[in-house]
This record gives sequence, C-alpha cells and structure tokens, in this order.
Amino acid sequence: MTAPAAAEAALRGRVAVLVSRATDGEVTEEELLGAGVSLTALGVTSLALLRLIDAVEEEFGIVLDLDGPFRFLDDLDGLVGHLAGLGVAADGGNDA
Amino acid sequence: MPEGTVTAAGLRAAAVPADTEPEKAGVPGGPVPSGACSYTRRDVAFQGERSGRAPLTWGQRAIWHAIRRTAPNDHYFNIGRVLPLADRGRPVTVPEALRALAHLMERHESLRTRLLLPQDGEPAQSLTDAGTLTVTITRAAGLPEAAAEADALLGRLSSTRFDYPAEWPVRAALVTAGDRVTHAVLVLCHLAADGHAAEILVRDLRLLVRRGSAGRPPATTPLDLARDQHAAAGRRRGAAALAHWDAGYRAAPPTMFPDPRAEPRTPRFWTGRLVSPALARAVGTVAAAHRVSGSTVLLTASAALVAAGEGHRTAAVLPIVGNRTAGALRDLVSTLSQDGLFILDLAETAGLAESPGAREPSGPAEPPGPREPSGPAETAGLAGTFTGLLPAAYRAALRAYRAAVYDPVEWDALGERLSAEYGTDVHPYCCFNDMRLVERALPGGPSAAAGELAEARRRTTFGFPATQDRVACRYCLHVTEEGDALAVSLTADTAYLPPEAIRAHLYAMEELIVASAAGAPPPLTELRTLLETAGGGRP
Repeated sequence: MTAPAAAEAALRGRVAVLVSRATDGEVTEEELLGAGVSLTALGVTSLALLRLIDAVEEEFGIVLDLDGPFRFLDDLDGLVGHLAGLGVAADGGNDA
Repeated sequence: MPEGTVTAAGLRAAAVPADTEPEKAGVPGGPVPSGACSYTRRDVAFQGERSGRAPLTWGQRAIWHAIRRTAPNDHYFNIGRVLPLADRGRPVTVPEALRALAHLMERHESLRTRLLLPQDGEPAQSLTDAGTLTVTITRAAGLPEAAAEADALLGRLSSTRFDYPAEWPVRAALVTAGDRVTHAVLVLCHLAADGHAAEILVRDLRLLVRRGSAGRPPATTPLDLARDQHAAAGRRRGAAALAHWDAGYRAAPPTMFPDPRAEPRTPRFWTGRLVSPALARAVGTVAAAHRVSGSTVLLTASAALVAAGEGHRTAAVLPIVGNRTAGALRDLVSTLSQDGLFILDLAETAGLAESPGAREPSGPAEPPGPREPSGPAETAGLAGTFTGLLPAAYRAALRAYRAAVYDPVEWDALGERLSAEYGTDVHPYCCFNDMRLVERALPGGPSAAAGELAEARRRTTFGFPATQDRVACRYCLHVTEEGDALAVSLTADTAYLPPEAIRAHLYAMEELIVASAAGAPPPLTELRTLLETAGGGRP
C-alpha cells in the first residue's frame, strides 16, 4: 500500500469509529466500512449526524461548512474524501 | 477544589427536614392553592459543593429575553412534571422523598442557580452552595384521588411566574395517601431547565428515591458552560451560527405574517389543538419512505403551509433546537434550547431532483401526472409536490440545527441591523417546537395503508383549549405525543391567524401529510386551496 493510500485507509478507519460512536454503537464500524451504503440507509439518524459533525470538528479541529447542497454526509467515503480535501490526517492533525 | 470541578463526593446527603407547619392555604414562594385541602410545608436543607457567578449561558439569555417580552404572563414558560411513585416498587415515605429532593438540589447546580440583575450591567447567574427548599405536601383521600391531586398541585404551582432573583428555580410538592408518597410534583423555571432537562430531573429523582443514587455527576454545569461560551472558541462558533442567520434572513421575506387580517380577539392569542392518530402514522410513513426524521416532515409541512397561506416563495421558520448533541451536554440540566433558522425555498427546491443518494424520495408513488394548478399568482412557477421538498428540507434542517448556539445579544443586534437596513421589522414570528424527546418506532410496521389512515382519521379531535393575552410570536406550533396520536397545537395571534384559520391550518397539515403517506402528495400549487378546504366537514 502506498503512503497516501495507507493514510486514507487510516483516516477511513478513524472516521468510521467516530460515526459508530455518534450512533451509540447502533451502526458498527464493520457496517460502515462495507462498500457504498449511505449513512442514512445504515440507520444513522439526523441526531447522530449532528453528533458526528460535533465529533469530527472537535477531533480534527476543523469547521464543516453546511452551506450549499453539501453531500459529504451522504456516505462514509464522501465524508472521508471531504476531510482529506481539507488536509485532515487520521492522527487528528490538520496537514493544511 | 478549583472552580469548575464537581465530584461525586460533593454530592453528599444533607437532607434535614426542618419544620412542619400545617396550614390551610398559602405556599410561601409559590402560588396560593385554592379549596379546603390541608397543605403542609417542609423545609429541606441541601448542601452543594460550590457557589459562583458567571455570565448567563446563551440558552439562559435566550429564555430571559423571551420571559421579558412575555411578562407579566411569563408563567407560560414554567415547566411542570409529575413523577408517580405508587405505581410499583416498595412504598416511599415522606422522609425518603425529601432526602431525594435534597440530593437532586445538590446534584444539579442549575437548581441552585438564580438570576442576578445588577442595576448597571448584564444579567448574570449566581450559584449558591447551600440552602433550604420548601416542599409542599398534600394528603389525598386515597390512591384513586392522588393522581388528580397531583395534577391540581401541578396546575397551582405552575400558575404564577417565578421570582427569578429570589426564588429557587424549582417548586416541589409531594402527594401522600396513607403513609406513602404517591406523587412528586416538580415545577421548573425555564431559566434552569428546558424540556429535556425536565426529563433528566424526573429520571434522576426517580433513581434517587428508588436507589439513593443517580450515578455519575453531570459532565458539565451551567456555570462552566457559560464560561466556555464566552471564551474565544465559543464566540467563534456563535459568530459562524449568526452568519447562517444573516444569510437566511436575506434569503427570506422580512416576516412570515406581514399584514393583520382581522380584528384581534380578546384574549388575543388562541391555541388550537389537533390530536390525530392518523397524523402519527402518516408522519412515520412519510419519514421512513423519504429517509428523513418525522420532525423534518412536520417542520416542512409547517413551513410549506405558512408560505402558501401568505403567498411567500420562501419560508422562514424558527425550530426550537435542543442543542444536546455534544456528549457532555446530554445530561446537563440547564436550558440549552435556542431558536434555529429553517429556510425553505419552495420554488427553488421543489422541482429540483436531488442527485441519487440516500434521501432521494423512494416511497409512495407520486400521483399520475400533475394536477391543474389552482392557486393564486404567487404559486405560479412552483413545481412538484410536498414530498419533493423533503430532501432539500432535510439539509436545511441540519443547517438550522447546527446554527442554534449563539449569543442572543448579538442575535438581537443582527435583527436590529437588518431591520434598519430594510426599513421594516425583520423576524419570522413563526416558530416550531417538536417537544417529543424521542420519535418512537411505528407500531405495527413501517408504513400505513390509505384505508388504515382514513379509518384513523375518524378519531381526530380538535379544540381551542387555551388563550393568552400576550405571546411574543404570531405562529407557534407545538408537537407532542398523546397515546398513539400526535398532538399538534398552534398558538397564534388572532390578528394574523383568526381562530378559523388556526383550525384550517392544523387540518391542512394533517391532510397534507396523510395524503402524502397514502401515495398522493399534494402539489405545492394546491396548498392554499388545501388551507381553505381541509377543515370542511371535520369535527
């Protein structure tokens, strides 16, 4: 695995933990890491999404912008891609 | 111990029932009960861990502003709860219940926090470590009468405003039958608690009565929260929230109900209340089909009907937001709720197909072909149906919920700035409060059939249960649960929404959502017609 790929996989795993925690464990990391299923289809409620936004912002020290037709909360990879675009790394830092 | 720290050791028991003084009527610090019942007062001592002062939290500031605008009728904001204690478990004695109340006062700093009103300066909060709480005790003739006595006490204790700087923000009472306590009654000042906090207090009181402990102490306190909010990070978050409000206000009309349409009634504000099992089923069905929350379905229906009724393309509704998503705030007894700003552009969103995604409508089939538009000129150009609004409404609701933590003083300043800029009052005067703490799973399956809904609608009831002289809003929609039904109350200014319009609005909301659940979501062009016809032939 290349270094960027390994970094993204680590970020993906980290974000899956945060999403699962936001649902109080109702949605497991394994379910989240499965391919291509939307967060709401997995049972992530709007309340859990709000918790997730709080957790992501606190963990990575960023602000998620909800203006416009945001898509990054649709599924795990959308969120991971959005965070990577913001320069976020799995160790909680912000590369930017 | 440094300020800002609370430990379990600080929650020591200090309940010392002090005096006993039977009297016929008159409850110090509270309203005067009527009737010939005999009341007893017991002073219960409590000893909390610390005292201190801080600015008001933003939630406290928000409710204080609302209280000032509503005074002298601000008892409207009191929050009452009855905890039954004779339903199961071993009998509870008066000393046990008093000890539990003392523990409750010690556990939650909010209950020991009063308002400071300096002559020159901002209102602030003052936490006191120790004191006594006067508890009213009334004896019921027997168990069957006890519940009614508890309800009567709740009504009496709720019926007067709190003395905010002087009185503890909780009034407590016990009902007894024989030698056991049958009910505990709590009436809370809204500065100390919102609806969620009231439930936490009832839960904790039950645990303290039954087990003597309510577990780990709360993770934070109103005092510490205030300090966090007024620090740099809190201010940054508040500023980001107010940027959402600025943009939202600029996208919407200055107000939702601009023109009085009738002579106001006396009292001016009327509450209409629709109780509908069909609506409960239909909201669940539409929510499941479109993968949004039931709350979003109701909020969207409210916004769409207000816009249609007033001829607006864009609705601005203020949902009351719980602000408890952060882990540390889930169990905090304080008033965290603040207004959010939900902006829904019917013209922009209804006709747009969102890209294939999680919340793409996938539920009941749309009706075959568009119906003939029948609305007025304002609705021309509105494409699509009510359920077509839901994907965009879902995102708009998330934005609103995220932007509901801000300093009300700065929020007021924003409103004043925009009002000066526009030359007219900028405020939606249109609020939405889903007071359900959880949305229950639907009984009997995820979706309701049209026949089942039609049958359920026969059980819908409607009435005007209350009036008020003064409410600082023109349209206040409240959602609660009542058995298997949803109860939707609309308190409105009769100058803008006369009683018949209140009734029509609530029936239109039921019709809109029930029709959507049955697979025939009404076109947006027909919403105004719906407002004119939905109540016809109904009770």
